[in-house]
Formats: sequence, structure tokens, C-alpha cells
Amino acid sequence: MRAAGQGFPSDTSHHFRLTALVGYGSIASYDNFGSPLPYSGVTVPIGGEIEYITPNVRHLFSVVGITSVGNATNLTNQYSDNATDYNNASYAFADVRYRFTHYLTDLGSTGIHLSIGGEWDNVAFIRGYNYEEDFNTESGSGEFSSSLAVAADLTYERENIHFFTASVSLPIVAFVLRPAYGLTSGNNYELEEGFEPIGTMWSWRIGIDYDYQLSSVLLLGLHFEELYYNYPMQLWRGVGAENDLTIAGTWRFNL
Amino acid sequence: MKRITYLLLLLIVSGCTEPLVTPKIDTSPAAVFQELWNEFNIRYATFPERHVNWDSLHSLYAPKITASMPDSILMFFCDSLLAPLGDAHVSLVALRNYGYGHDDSTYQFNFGNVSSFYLGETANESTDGYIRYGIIHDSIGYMNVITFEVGDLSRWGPAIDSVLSYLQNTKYLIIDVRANAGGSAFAGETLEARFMPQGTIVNFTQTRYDGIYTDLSSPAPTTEMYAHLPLWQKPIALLTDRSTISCGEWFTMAMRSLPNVTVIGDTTQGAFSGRLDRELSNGWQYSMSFEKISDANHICHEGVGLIPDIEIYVKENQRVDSPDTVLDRAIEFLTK
Repeated sequence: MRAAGQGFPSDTSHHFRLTALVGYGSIASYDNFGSPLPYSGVTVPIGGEIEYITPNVRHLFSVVGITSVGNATNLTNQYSDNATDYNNASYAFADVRYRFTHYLTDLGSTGIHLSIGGEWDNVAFIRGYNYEEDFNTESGSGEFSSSLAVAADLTYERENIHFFTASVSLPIVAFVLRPAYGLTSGNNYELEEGFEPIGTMWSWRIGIDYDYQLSSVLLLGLHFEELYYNYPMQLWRGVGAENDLTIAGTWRFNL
Repeated sequence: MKRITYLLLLLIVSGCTEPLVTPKIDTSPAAVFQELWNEFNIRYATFPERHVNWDSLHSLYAPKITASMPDSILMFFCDSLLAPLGDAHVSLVALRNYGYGHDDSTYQFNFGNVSSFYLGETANESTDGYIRYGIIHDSIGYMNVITFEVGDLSRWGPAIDSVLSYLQNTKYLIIDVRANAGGSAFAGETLEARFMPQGTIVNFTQTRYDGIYTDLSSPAPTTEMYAHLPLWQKPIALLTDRSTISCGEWFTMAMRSLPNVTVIGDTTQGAFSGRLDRELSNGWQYSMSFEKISDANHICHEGVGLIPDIEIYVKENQRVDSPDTVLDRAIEFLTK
């Protein structure tokens, strides 16, 4: 029997897969409450995933954060004589999600399997804008979002050792929470919140994974993922994007 | 080779997030001027206190902004827009750095004079370098708090205690915050804690919450979070001038509520708000006051400053026989 939920013929039973991820990434934000200018920086994403796979269903729980290594970028500050490396935009980013996909069909005789389902995604993305080399006057912004999305996976296996997965999810509604305009250290931290439906907000996540089977229990892979969101609320608009290219080491096991 | 190409493609893709988020940014002179005006229009908290009609300034300058205007001329109009605020927390960092505080203080504090003519061999400096101190006439302790922009707050409290310990046998204390341009509110509170009881209301803070100038949040009290016992309860003269700014004024506002404190010198700057730094779409930076601060009696001194109990004002070019007229008056007051 084929493990259609995961989409790989070799996945013939209920089992778990535990994956550790580390790699290189790029993060960018445009947030007219923090700054009228977009900023981006290099990141080092670190994360982990655990999957529970049955013949028809795949459950994925994923946690990814970016480290502070190299994730600050200099402010534009293009006319200032006193700009220094301390005048920067710094980031903190975390992503916790649960994804559920169920086998739907094969795409003709291509050997590519289509699964569909949903995803619950929680993202926190905080920016600090340090204009004065002084955290007493640093201003900040950011948002937390919790979204429900429709999701689809395409999976393909070749020669029982090469595994390919393409995934996409499209949030339908998101709960968004963020500090009020003018957040600085010393300011009062009022929060604004609201539900944003698709059409008002736009967001997507796409992923392309390649995994190579080293043994019956170990896989080594290269995963690419892109997350984008655009949340308007009241007078502001927060846009974030994160691209990660990670090396993934996976241990397959049964309980 | 094909695999390497795919790998490079992925690397390129993973580095291109900024185009995904970049909006169309209008950096035309008219857009930048309007952006600056609008940011102040929705956030600046003390237009009424500074008697500035922001709409009138827009009407005056906006029609003069042209599409072909060079940055230097745009900067001139932005500077002209902000200058009437006279606010030390307002700045514009463009082709030049602009500040807008009062500069009408004619008495310039000079610690060299204090050290040479009053402290003599007792002149010393705290371990962290932010307090200069000594003893005058064997009975008056003197401490000049240079700034509240303290680098290492963990060393600040011990540094204060070391100075006060040295001065503990004096009968009186002079705290000199002339030319203290402010800094960390926590640093100010740490010093206040050596003089004020815990729970004392120091001031009230309000912030703007919509486009109407007078719509402010409810006053939120700032209280002394702790007291560092035993409190200093001997007579204190607190010296201020027009260059006592921001946190220096918060400190003055708190201390002058004490019965054993007399403020002597010139009126303070009158810039109490927190400072919000931002940037414009063309990369220029600016800062503004986004709060209205009132004292414990709900009186706002923004734009006016704190008027001392004993005002010493030396006019420009006025001949004086003393190296420090304000300090002389403080000594006279304490020892009378």
C-alpha cells in the first residue's frame, strides 16, 4: 500500500520523521509605522520539524526562528554625517505552524501525487529601528499573526532515494496583533488587533524540498521556503517576506 | 554543472526578499514635505502648549514646494516648518543637522570655574565619570550631574552612593544639573531614589491617539518605584539653566516637589516629552515629541520650562564679578 498522504511509495506504514534545519536566508520588511522605507537583511534560520505520516495523511509541526547573526542592516541615513553601524534595523522572527495534508489524487501517470489540506501558521516578526546608537530612543514595530490557510503538496519519488516535495499554502483569514504607532522604549505599549480576510490581506507560503535517502532511517536534504504576508490595519501596512534555504537532516522512526 | 546551476538559482532566489516588500516610494519634494508635515500632524503632542498653528504653516510653505526643487531648498523649507516649534526634542538630520531648542541662555555653566574657585583640592569625579563633586567651605556638598545619558546603569547607583557617602558629613547639598541635556529616565529615577519616598508621583504622561491636536490619552502617572534608604533630608539647592533638558527637567520636576529642595538659576529648556525618531522616504531623519508631560499638579511646562524658586539671570555681555553667580546665590541661600 502506498503512503499517499506523504506521497512516497516507500512510506508504507505509520511512522515519524524528525528533521533539523539550518541554513541561509533573507528577510525583508516594509512597515510604514516603523519606517517609510523597506529594509532587508541576511538571516540564519534554525528550526525543526516533526511529521507523523500515515498511508493517507501527513501531519507536520514546524518551528523556525532566525538568529541575530547578521540580521541587522544599516538604516538608509543617506544624508547623515554621523551614521554608524549602530544606526540599523534589527529583526527577530519566529514561525510556528501545523500542517495537515491528505492524499487526493495522482497527476496522470507522472508519478506525482497531490495532497490537499490546511495549515495553521503563527508568525511573530519584530523590528527595531535604532536611530541614535541608544536603545533608550530605539523605536520598534512588528506584528504577530495567526492564520488559517488552505494547503497543497505535490510529492514525487525517484529510484527510492530521491524525494521531491513542492508545497503551497494560502491563508484565508488571519488574526493580526501589533503595537500601536510610535512604539519606543519608554512609550506605553498599546496593542491593535483584528481579523483580516483574504483580499484585505495577502499571504502565501511556498516550499520546494529535495531529500536524499542515506539509509533506511536517515535523509539529507536541501529545502527552500518563502513566506510572504501583507497585512493592512487602520492607518498602517506591514509587509514581511522571509526566504530560507536550509540543509535538512531527517531521522525516520517508528514508535 | 546543471546541479550547480540549480543550486546557484536557489541561492539567488533565497536572497531576493526586498523586491517582494518594496512599495512605490515617492521621494519628490512635495511628497517628502507632505510626509514630514503629516507625521507631525498626527503624532506631535504639544502644538497648543507651543502655540503653533500647524495648518497655517502648511498653508504657508506647501505651495512653495516645486517638483524641480533641489534638496538644499527642500531642506530649507523643512527647517522653516519645524523651527517655530522651538522644541529641543525636534531635529532634522538632512544635508545638515538641525536642532530646535531654545538657545537664549546667556549664562554659560563652566565647571572649570566651579572647580578652580569653589571646590579646590576637593574636586573629584565619580568612578563612572558622570558626576563631578567636591566640598565648598567645609560644609556644603556639591555634585554636578553631567548627564543622565549613562552608559552602564549597573554602575550608576553605586557611583551615586559613593559620592553621597563622601559628602555625608556636610550640612547642605548643591546638586548642579545645569547643562544636563537629559538621557535615561531610569538614570534620573535612580538618583531621585536617594532623596524621594517610594510612591511619589513625579509626573503624568499623555500621548496623541488621533488626528485632533487636543485628543490625548488619559494621564498615566509616573511614580518613584523605589527609595534607596536612608534618604538625604538636609537642605538642597538644585541649580538649573536653559540647558537643563528632558530627563534633566524630569529630575528637576521631581526634586522641586520636596520641601527641602530650592531650585536656583535659570528656567529649564521646556522639553519634557519622550523623543520619537523616524525617517522620511528620502532617507532624511527627524525626531519629534510624541508625549505631553505634566507635573504632579497636572500643569504642563512644555515650551516654557521650570521656573526656579530663585531666578538668577545674567544678561548677555553683562559684567559680573563672580565666576559663578548662580553658585554664589546658592551658597548664600543655604548658609544664611
